[in-house]
Amino acid sequence: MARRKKGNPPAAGTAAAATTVPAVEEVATPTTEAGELQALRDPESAGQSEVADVLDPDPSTPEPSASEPTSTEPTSTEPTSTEPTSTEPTSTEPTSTEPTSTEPTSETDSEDDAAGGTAAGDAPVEDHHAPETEDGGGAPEPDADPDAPGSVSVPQDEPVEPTTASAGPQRVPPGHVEGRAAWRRLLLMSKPRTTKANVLGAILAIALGVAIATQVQLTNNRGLAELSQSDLIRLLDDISSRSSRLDQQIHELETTRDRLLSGTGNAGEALEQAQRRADTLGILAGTIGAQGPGITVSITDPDRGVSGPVILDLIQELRDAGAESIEVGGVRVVASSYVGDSGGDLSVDGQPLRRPILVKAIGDPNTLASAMTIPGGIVETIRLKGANASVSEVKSVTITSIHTPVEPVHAEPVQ
Amino acid sequence: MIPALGLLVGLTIGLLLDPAVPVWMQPYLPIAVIAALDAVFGAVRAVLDGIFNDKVFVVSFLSNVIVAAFIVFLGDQLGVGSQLSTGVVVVLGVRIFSNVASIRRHLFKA
Repeated sequence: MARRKKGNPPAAGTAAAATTVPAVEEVATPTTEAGELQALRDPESAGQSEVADVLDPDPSTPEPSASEPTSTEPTSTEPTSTEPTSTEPTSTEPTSTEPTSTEPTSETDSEDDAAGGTAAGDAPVEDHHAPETEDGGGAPEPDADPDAPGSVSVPQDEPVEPTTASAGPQRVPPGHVEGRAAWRRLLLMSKPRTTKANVLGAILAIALGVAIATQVQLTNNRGLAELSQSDLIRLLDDISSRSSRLDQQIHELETTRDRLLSGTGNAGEALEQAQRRADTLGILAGTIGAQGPGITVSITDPDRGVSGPVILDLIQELRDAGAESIEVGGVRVVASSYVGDSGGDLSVDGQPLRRPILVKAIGDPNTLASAMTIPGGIVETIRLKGANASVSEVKSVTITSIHTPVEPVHAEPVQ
Repeated sequence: MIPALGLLVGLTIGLLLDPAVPVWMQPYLPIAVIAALDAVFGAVRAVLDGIFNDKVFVVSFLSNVIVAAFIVFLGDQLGVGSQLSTGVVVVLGVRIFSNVASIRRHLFKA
């Protein structure tokens, strides 16, 4: 409420100024010489001098207080106190304005008990006002000026261009305060009041506080969702390039691992295969002993009727039946084995064959045995020679005799 | 005093509750905050100029916030949201600076 009224008095002052402008302009014209902004202020200073004029009757202190609420007094006096600052140096009627300035301050003294303060404040205000306006000729002043014309009706924080354009001459707001007075007004304004608008303002302030805090926190814990598109793209690029790099690394490592694994596997396998192959070849070549199921053929030949060809037939028959390893009379029969027969003295690979002849063969016992005893087979042939052959199937025949291979002299592997 | 207290209370509430900002509101909140700050500084300056008016303050506060949010919204629709946001921030920042400069002259005469 008090605030409202505070706003109003200046308005009333300006309104009053409008009526008496011409008279004051004369007063103000000298001020224009002071500075360009002073010129802009002419109307304003006029208005303020008007206020001063209006207040001139005031010198009797009770009057203003009677006409206006006491709380409004300080603000109404403050304009007047500032007003002389602009008018005083150059105004033709300093004497008239001077008293007005002092008297309102005396009023404020009585009310705000800042007696010395305001009095002291007034003088500095005058001193500092001129420099302020001079350097204020830049950016901020134009802003301040537009507010002035619409002091009450125009939003205080919005420079209204059209009004300034139309107004032409700009003014400093009538309620303009400086220094200590400004602080006092701020303090005054911050006193709690219960206007509807004030409550609204408080609500707005709370909303602003919440918004600021929320936004700050939002910015602080900014997750992936709040990132801008370019940020996200950069992140994605980074991640994808890194992942492709890692993929490549994985691939290389896997290849290496596979190579190592297969290397050892190959070696083992090859070793095994080589071993198997060596065994097979060893058995075939008769360089190692062999054992397995097979048959034994025992030939008793008291009449020495069994000749070399018979033994050859026997070996051939055994091979035909699938014998894998053959031993005749303690001699391993291999690919290069031969049977000698000189007048009844048999020999295998040069080794004399003693009677009774014992033949061992490893292979399928049934097949081998039937191959021996087949009608017209080797057993019958031997019997015809006046000898006797007995075939027995054995589960496990062990052939320990080995053949010592001879390094081939002429034959070489085909490359 | 009341607005200052309100600001403090609001900050405390915001910090304690940490309200979740709806997704549709997220682009507008920072701009709205700056616009509101501009209104607040304008109000302080108006007080010092002697032309403060509660109603004007409330109206300008709300209109500032709404207009700022609307500009950002428009920018989003036109595909120049970030640029327009920057522009709004720059303009509001300049205004805040000039307001603060004026306040400073009032209070410190410098």
